Amino acid sequence: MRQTHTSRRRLWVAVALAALSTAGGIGLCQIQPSGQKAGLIQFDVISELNMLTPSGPTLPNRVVFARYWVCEDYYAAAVVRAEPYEDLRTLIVLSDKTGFRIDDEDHHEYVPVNTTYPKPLGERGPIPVRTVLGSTPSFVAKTRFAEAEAASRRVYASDLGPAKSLKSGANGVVDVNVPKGTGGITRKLAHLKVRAKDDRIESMELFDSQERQLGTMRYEYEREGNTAQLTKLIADWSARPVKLGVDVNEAGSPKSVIDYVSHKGGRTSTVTYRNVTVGDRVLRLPVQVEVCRSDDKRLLRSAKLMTFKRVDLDKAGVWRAARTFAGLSSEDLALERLRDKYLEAPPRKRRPLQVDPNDVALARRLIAKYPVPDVSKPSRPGREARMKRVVPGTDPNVEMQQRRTRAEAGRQESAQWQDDIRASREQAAKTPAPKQMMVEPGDARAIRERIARYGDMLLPPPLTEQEKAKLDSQGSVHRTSNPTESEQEIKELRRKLGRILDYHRIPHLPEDKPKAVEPNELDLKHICQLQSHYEKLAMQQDRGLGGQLRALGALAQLDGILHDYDAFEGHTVRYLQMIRDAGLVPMHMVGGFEHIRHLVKAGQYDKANKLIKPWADRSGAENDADAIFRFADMQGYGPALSWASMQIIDRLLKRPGLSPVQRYEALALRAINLDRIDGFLADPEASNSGRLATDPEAGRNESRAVSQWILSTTTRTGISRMVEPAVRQAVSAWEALGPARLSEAKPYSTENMSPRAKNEMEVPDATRLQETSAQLDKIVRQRFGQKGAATGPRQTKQPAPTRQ
Amino acid sequence: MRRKWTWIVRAALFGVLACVLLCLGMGAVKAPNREMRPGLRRLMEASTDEERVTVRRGLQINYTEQDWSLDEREQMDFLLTPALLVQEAISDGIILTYPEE
Repeated sequence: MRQTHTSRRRLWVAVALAALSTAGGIGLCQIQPSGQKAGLIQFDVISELNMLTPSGPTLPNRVVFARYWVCEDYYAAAVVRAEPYEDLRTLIVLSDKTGFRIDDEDHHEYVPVNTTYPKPLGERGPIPVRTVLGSTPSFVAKTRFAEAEAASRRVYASDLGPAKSLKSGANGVVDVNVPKGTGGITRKLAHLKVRAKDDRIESMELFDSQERQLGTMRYEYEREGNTAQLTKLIADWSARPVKLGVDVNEAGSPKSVIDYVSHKGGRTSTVTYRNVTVGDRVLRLPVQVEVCRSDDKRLLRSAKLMTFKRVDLDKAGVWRAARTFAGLSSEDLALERLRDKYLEAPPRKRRPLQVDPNDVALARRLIAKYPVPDVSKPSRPGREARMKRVVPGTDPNVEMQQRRTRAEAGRQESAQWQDDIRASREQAAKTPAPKQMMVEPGDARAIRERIARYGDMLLPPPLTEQEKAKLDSQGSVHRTSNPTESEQEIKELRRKLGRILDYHRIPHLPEDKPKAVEPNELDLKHICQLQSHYEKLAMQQDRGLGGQLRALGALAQLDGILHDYDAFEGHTVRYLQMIRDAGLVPMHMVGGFEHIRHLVKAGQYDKANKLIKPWADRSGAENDADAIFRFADMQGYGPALSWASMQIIDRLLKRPGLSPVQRYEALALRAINLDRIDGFLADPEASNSGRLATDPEAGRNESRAVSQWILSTTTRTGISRMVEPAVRQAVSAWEALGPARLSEAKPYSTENMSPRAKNEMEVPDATRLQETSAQLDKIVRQRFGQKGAATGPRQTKQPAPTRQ
Repeated sequence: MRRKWTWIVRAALFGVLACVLLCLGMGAVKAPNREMRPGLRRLMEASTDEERVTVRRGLQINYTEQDWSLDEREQMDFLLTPALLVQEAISDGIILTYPEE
């Protein structure tokens, strides 16, 4: 009886505490900054994603235009336009309590982005390693975990229940232990340290269950009347360990996982809040987001949120609205068909092979007929070192001795290999390069056919049934096969034949010329209908800037099909005006260049020259110096970029307020670009040799067009005369840097180092400025007769540009 | 006579010493740098097989690609950030925080 009484009393106490706690929580809901219930809201976002990876190729910034629909229970996002790559266009996401739905019509064949993931989503797992630009969809599919991770760190007003001092206006820090998640929700957040004053949280530190800091939030307020309104939320995140998946197979499973560091340099995110009228209510909403590196304050990404409005749709209606906004309409599909037919017409069918592809003797005769400089490296040894196996389980001292012996053998073999490479390079330098010849048309055909045929022969055999079963069950198949002598011979012949195409001149073959395709009557009628459709869309303000730009892009493609370059010029001017009005300064530079390059490829030099002047003036005046240097350093755009970026750098150099380092970098890039253009004009087709081997006619046409474009405003002699003074000017600017010339701007390159060598020596990655100095150093050596090894970490003590 | 021999012996000894010093000096200059690369040293100093495998694997990785991948992850996750920020701002009982990419 007594026991029952006690347990009843306990129950009452528990109920009373729960009621108090709930009341406290409700009371604290008013604490700033906390959310406020509203209905479904639609808004547009322009996100600028800067590619600032310290090493590797320089890539242009991405700009993503998207529309969002958000309410308390679910949200949807639809990407309508992405520049300069279109790889995110048509991406649609809808997330609610039951699942995360993701759809992308442009990648409709790729399952991970055309499916619904049921919730709870589980753990993200190791992050796949990106090796090529086209691997974006796999990263897009993994964004589903971002939401779950954010929810696991979310702070609820009820979490602050015990912190009663928040209400009493205490200034001290309040420690709060956060309750664990219920109903399958995983909470990473376990502990909070809150600094509050007058019902306002000033800062908050978030910790996990092991007291590791998850991040810090700081809040800034402004007083409006009697109330304080949140103006800024500043979040700081430090670098943290991360698991990376290496050698990810097609099924998405990594072969191995490594520990690495994410968020290097830390992150500082700043969200700006403003009062926004949405329907009949005024809401405090985020209008801008900026994420910088905490250490050097460089901007990594930003988002502008705009045109908020209340919409009356259910969840199915939101999905339909997102599909209509970002998906492909029947007109878009018709445009794609026309583009494939007229803009990407395949080259003429090649002539059938006249000779036996298995005739190895002919391949050898061709190799002997067209000699190329020998660039083969001695093969890497290592067998001896590998033979000295360590026997595990023996005496630790013996084992250590075995390891030392093995490492020493490996080191000696490696040193010998380096000596062999050096000797072979010296030998190659002494041997005069063979004369470049014009390959006879029949030989060019025979070489190309053999390269294609040998490529087919070297393909791995298809998967067996057992291997397929293993791939399905285990996610990977390990195939080990040593190439036969015959395969090795074929591989070597293919490599040597490819070198002939790279080194010698290839004649114009009739079969390389694409058929000139003019639109027929029916297609012309269709094009007119599409023009009026997209013209209407381009004028519709409610499609947002992204939707309007997408319609303008379609109009420019139709201009290309019709070869109507007056209209193309008009659309380019309109496009540049729209992005300038939106304040998208870097996009104006990159997107404008793409349009000008299109005109150049079409041989419209006057139009390109007319556009380039105002484009370069604005880009040089409005972009920050770092954005211009990154633009000038972009890869894969050839001499057209060198010429265009020189125009911008010339204007940048006239700008007051450049620091000595910025001035040096601008002069160095100017000299490097001039040197490239000089080399290109000397032999335009040789400068594009890589493309000539794969798509000879396109490569040759582009090279010819770019050289004619450059020579439409200057002469070859004029360029040649400019190079050496430009190099000397850059070297003087380098010398004037003082101590920075041997630190920040020292000639140092890791570009050609293998990853293994870099890791073994633990050398730091060269910065963009150091790589630029190394390139300038190379030009100085070539132009002023400074012979020596290429600049690298070992030569860093030799400030080469001073030694002219 | 004795004094002459003393000078000869001294000169010979001095010559030998000079030669030794010269050879040692040249050896120091000519000897290859035998210092082991730090990455290889870590490999050799690994105490367990597991640790050794991890170090060896780490030496072969192209960290430029890793940095690219992590950048790509952050950039793609950022596409959801506006939705998550607005959702917090229009939901009852949530303290506004940054969702983090």
